Amino acid sequence: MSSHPSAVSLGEIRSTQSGFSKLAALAADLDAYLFDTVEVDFSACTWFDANMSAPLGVVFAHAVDNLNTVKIKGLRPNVETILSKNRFLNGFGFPEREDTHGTTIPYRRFTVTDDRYFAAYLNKHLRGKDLPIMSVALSERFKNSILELFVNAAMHSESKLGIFSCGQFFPSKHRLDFCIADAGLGIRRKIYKELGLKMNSDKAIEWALQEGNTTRKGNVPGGLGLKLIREFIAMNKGRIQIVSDRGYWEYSPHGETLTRIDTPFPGTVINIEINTADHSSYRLRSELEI
Amino acid sequence: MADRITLKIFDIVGGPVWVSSDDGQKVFDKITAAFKANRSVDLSFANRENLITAFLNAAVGQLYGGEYKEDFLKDHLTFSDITDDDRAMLERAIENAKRYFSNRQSYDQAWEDVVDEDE
Repeated sequence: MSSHPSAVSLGEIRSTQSGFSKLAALAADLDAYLFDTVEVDFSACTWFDANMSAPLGVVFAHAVDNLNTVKIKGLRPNVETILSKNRFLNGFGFPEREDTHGTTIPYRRFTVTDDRYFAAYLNKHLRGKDLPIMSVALSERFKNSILELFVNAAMHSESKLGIFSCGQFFPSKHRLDFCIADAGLGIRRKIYKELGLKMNSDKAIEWALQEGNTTRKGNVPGGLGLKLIREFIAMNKGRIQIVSDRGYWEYSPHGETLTRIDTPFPGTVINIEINTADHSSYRLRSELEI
Repeated sequence: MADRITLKIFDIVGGPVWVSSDDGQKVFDKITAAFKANRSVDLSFANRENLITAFLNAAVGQLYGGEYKEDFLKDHLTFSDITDDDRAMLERAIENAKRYFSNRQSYDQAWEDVVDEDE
């Protein structure tokens, strides 16, 4: 064990390819330590999108699983406020701060069998009082999408460290972001393990998005959840991002991106962002009506 | 006509949150047990709080896997206490299941190894 704490640092984190890449690089930095005390220096972090606390939770959980003690230092006041309000910093000795504007869906860590607790968490925090400008129909579709993502992660990720979630409403932009992250195998390894197909991380995401594809064994059809989420995000003019291993996929009104990031993320993250000012009807239609 | 039995999802799952595949499997098992006992099933969606396709795929979608003909299911399975939105989701799950089971081989065979030296 070293006599002085080891140090790694983190820059600005937004819900972008660059933000996910920085978290993956942090994971790689932390992976070098075992039985150590590691200080993560946030002094270069001028902004942190609160929903990105979910993948940060995965990164820190891996480090702690390697029997390290993770300490946070150098937090700027604005970033400390963001990460205290959503309760991410609670586990690091920082006091909790009240979310006076009701814009946060707090950071939580669940086990893969916690589907009912997760549903209760969403039912509580997505109620109208905290996020007053969403229509009921939009709120329901959003909630169902997130539940699909949680169940998907619980069923496929094999994440022994759990499933991490966090959401943030950005009122001035009329945007609500919600992130679900697991610390599991990643899509690429899961496909290889279950089906014996070798794929690059980006192709593996493309495979998972293809209708009918599932690594599930047995007689239960799959592949509908992500399809409905994509339909919903397209209708809402929102955005969805998936990061798994080195694969990165993004879909928004600006187009679709499928690429590889430099460093593998140790798990899978899905971030969905919706336009809360949209008052379209979100009734699901049968395929005959589409 | 077979005797009809009402199965309440709320009672089978033990609550109003219907999201996991495992809970969907419990409903599927009750439906098929009723069919084996020569009963028709009316599946009640009363008192639901959360419902998603992952649950419906297991509860209802897998009925279309081949053991039961579509005509049999039309005659022996009805749905009640269901909202318009939930019915639309159920119809999507059934359409997805039919397509999945009729194309299963081609789904599996359409993809081959796609890997380069970078990873």
